[in-house]
Amino acid sequence: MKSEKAQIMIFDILVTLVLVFLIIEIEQTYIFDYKTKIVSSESSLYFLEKNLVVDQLISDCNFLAKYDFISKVCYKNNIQLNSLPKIVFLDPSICKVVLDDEVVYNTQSTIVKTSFTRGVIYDGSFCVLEVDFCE
Amino acid sequence: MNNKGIVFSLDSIFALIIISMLFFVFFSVTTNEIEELTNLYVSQKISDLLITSQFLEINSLSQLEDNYNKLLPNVPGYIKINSSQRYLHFSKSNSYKKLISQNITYVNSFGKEVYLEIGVYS
Repeated sequence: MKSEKAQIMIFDILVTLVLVFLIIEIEQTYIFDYKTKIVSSESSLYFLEKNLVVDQLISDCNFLAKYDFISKVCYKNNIQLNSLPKIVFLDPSICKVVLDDEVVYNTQSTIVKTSFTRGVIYDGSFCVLEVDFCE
Repeated sequence: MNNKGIVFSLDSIFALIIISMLFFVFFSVTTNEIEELTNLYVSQKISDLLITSQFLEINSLSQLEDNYNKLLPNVPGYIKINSSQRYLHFSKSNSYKKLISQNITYVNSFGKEVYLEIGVYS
C-alpha cells in the first residue's frame, strides 16, 4: 500500500516537472513576445514617433530650422519662428512650444501626454526648446 | 481514499505554482526598449549641446556648464573643453551604471582646433 502511494506521488511529481518545463517554454515563446508587443505599442513607439517629430522640427527648414538665404544652408539646431504655424501639419498633437520659459505656440488642449526638451540656438543665444504633445 | 487526498492536495499546490509562474512572468516582463529610448534622448541632448557650442564657439567651461544645466538639470555628467574638464552633479559615492558621451573637434574662427566632450552618467 505504501509503495503504491509512493509510486503515485513520484509519478505525480514527474508529470508536474514535465508540465513546468512545458509552461516555461510557452512563457518564453508566447507570453514574453506578447507582453513585449504590448509594452512596445503602448509607450515605446509613441515615444520614438514624437521624438522623431521634435527632431524633424529642429532640423527641417520647412518648420523651425533656420534657412540662410545667402548661403542657402539649412542649419540644424538653429531655429527661427517664421514657420511656427506650419508645425500643425507635421503633427496636430503638438499643443505647446516653449522657448526658454516663453510660450511661443499654444493650442487650447490642456492634457499634456508627453514633453520633449532640446537645446537650440535662437536669436544668437542658447535656448531650451520644449515641445508638448497633447491627447 | 487517503492516498487520493494527498495526491490531490499535492496537485493543487503544483497547479498554484504553475498559475503563479504564469502571472509572475506576465507582470514582471518589461522590455529594455524604454531604457534604450531614454539613452537615445540623452544622446540627442548631448549632440544638441555639442552642435550649439560649436556654432556659438563656446570656449569657457562656465558657459558650457550653464547650457548643460539648462538642458540636463541635476543630471550627473562632465564637460570637457580641450584639456579642461569639470564634473557636474557628480558624486563619487554613487556607482553609476552607464556613461553616454560624445565629442567633437572643430576649427574655430581664429583657426584654432577646439575639442569638446560631454558625458552623462546614469
